[in-house]
Amino acid sequence: MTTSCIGQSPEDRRREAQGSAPDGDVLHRPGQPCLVCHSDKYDPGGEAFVIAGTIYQHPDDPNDQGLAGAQVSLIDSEDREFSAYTNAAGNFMIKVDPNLTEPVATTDGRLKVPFEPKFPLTVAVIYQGVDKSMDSMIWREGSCASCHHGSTPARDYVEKVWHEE
Amino acid sequence: MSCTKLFLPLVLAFGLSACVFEERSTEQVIERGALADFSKYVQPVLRVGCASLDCHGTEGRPLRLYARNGLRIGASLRGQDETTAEMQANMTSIDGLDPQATQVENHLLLLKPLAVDAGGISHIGGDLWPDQSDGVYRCLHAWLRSGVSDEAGRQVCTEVLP
Repeated sequence: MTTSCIGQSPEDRRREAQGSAPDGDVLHRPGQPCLVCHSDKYDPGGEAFVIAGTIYQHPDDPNDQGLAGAQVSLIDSEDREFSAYTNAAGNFMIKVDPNLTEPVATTDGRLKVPFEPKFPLTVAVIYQGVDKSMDSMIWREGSCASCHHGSTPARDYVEKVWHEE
Repeated sequence: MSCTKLFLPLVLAFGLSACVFEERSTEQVIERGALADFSKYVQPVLRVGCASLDCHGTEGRPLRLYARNGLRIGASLRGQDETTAEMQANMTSIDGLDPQATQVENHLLLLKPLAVDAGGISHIGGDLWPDQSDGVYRCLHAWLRSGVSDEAGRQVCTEVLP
């Protein structure tokens, strides 16, 4: 009854706006804003990340053609460096594991770090020896696709996270 | 220890702080500075520290800022420097952020990013400036008080640029 009175939460609405798609593994929903379902405040996905996204070779590549094997290198405001490596879908995901003593990356796109990264972050994507740095810093947003989703007639935003011009 | 030795430093400290407070409290927010000075001294600072797409480069925020690598008025501008229209819109956004403020130090543009411990107020983006000596604080202070028309303000804005 309470739910019907209040209606959906903003978090629920954002999740529904992503549309239906198979969930449940590290390859799902490339190109979508991961933290919509995987944040420490709202995690219907069952796992919370601090940073996560999809890397593409070119800005106009289709969502399901991400770039595998790219290194996503980040430095937080306390000069801690850590890197994730994209999986077969181009996805990567970073989560905090306080039981660790140092970052642990796996080929399925995961990176576990023993600390909460402190914003702002600088980020670069490295692939086949080419290092492409993001021009601006990440100040608070953990989902790459929250900003990198291309423009619409109503709003201008930057293209996907891409590695080559 | 004599009373003089004990109290003199306190008296001097109180007197000095009173002078500083008095000086700061008399600085009034000017109506608006010149576009050319905003473009040269203020916009580059905002571009780096405030206007990213995940902060103030977002439509609907009280302080909405356009920037070269952030929010653009039109998609065709991506990759180009900010246009005059975008910088005028940024100045208007700052004007509208706290229209009631008359004293520079009380303006939300300065109070929000200032650390709460230093007299600031809560800011979703966190405490960006530990105190009023921060270079970006002083640059934006110069914009509000003089439109960065004074040499000291121009120098501090130039110094904080990466």
